[in-house]
Amino acid sequence: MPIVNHRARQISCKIVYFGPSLGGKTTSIRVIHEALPKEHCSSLRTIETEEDRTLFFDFFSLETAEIGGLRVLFQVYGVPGQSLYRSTRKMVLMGADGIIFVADSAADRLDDNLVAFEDLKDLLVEHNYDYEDIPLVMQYNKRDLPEINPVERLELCLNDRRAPYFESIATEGKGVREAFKAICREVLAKLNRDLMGAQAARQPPAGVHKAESADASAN
Amino acid sequence: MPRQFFVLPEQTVQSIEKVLEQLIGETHANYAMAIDRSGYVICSHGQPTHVHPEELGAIAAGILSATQVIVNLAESQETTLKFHSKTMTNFHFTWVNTRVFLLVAFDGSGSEPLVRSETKQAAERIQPFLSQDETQPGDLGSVRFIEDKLSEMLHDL
Repeated sequence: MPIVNHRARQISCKIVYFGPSLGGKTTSIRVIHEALPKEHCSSLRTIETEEDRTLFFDFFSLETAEIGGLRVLFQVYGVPGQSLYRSTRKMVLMGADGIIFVADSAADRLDDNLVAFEDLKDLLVEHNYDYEDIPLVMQYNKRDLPEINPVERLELCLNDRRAPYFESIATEGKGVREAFKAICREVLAKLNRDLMGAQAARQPPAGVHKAESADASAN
Repeated sequence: MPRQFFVLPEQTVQSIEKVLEQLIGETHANYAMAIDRSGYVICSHGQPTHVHPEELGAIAAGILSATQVIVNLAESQETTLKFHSKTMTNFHFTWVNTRVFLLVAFDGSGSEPLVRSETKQAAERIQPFLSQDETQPGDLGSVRFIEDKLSEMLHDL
């Protein structure tokens, strides 16, 4: 749920990288963070174990320049993929406005992807999200491995709502930026739809105005 | 219909800022922040010097959510992270409501009991400001121009 802060003239949106462990979420976040203009983003905070596995979450924020007196703040999070950190994933997913699912393309990791994707859906339900409505982008990572699942198979098994998908090699920075740009666009498009919807809801139907005017004339 | 926005009107944030300013004045704490449970910093009085406020907000929300499980067992609404060194900053957390909490940072020269009692009172003063269930985002118009600007920012990615 975006947070609208009228005092700061700021809209805050939360983007979460989700997926199986060792799938490339943290690497993708590092690639994005390194490429962004530093004056617009915070430093990258990672809380990890001695083996460089994400323990708590990865985080950085990105703020657009003020235009027309309004700024958008993207808070970018990565969750720990290991199964025992489900409660942490649930916590990080709270308030998410968009999700990048980073799948591992390795041939022997299809089940891990499926488990992680089901976990995502379950957690969304637990947070009262409509799975069909939340902006989602699929990132099929590790396309450089010798034995991988074809994209068609990953699409068939995982992408049941036909969200935009991107092939990536996060270690080489390939495809990661495209996926990030896509989720930003999806989140902003939904934000725009919701803002327009909220404004339309505030305006009374045209007929009501006419009826009131007619009454006033009669009086 | 599910709520689409968490809206913070200017008057609400100004009122919270005043309470935080008063809290700092009474406790001589280093800074105080009102943070949404998702990690978003609503407003603050004073700033952390060693970490970006947005980072601190995200970490604080994470710590508090994780700790909340234990806190619930103890049936408490408060948590303190205290470091036993005079040079370190201590952090006191108090929930305002189910959505927003206060973080107060104080060093060895501050009084923990004073910080606790004053923060609790500050939370009680802030509660009514947040109880107005504002769901309309106001006249923000289209954010299409933000999309364009973001595309420019990400162009070189």
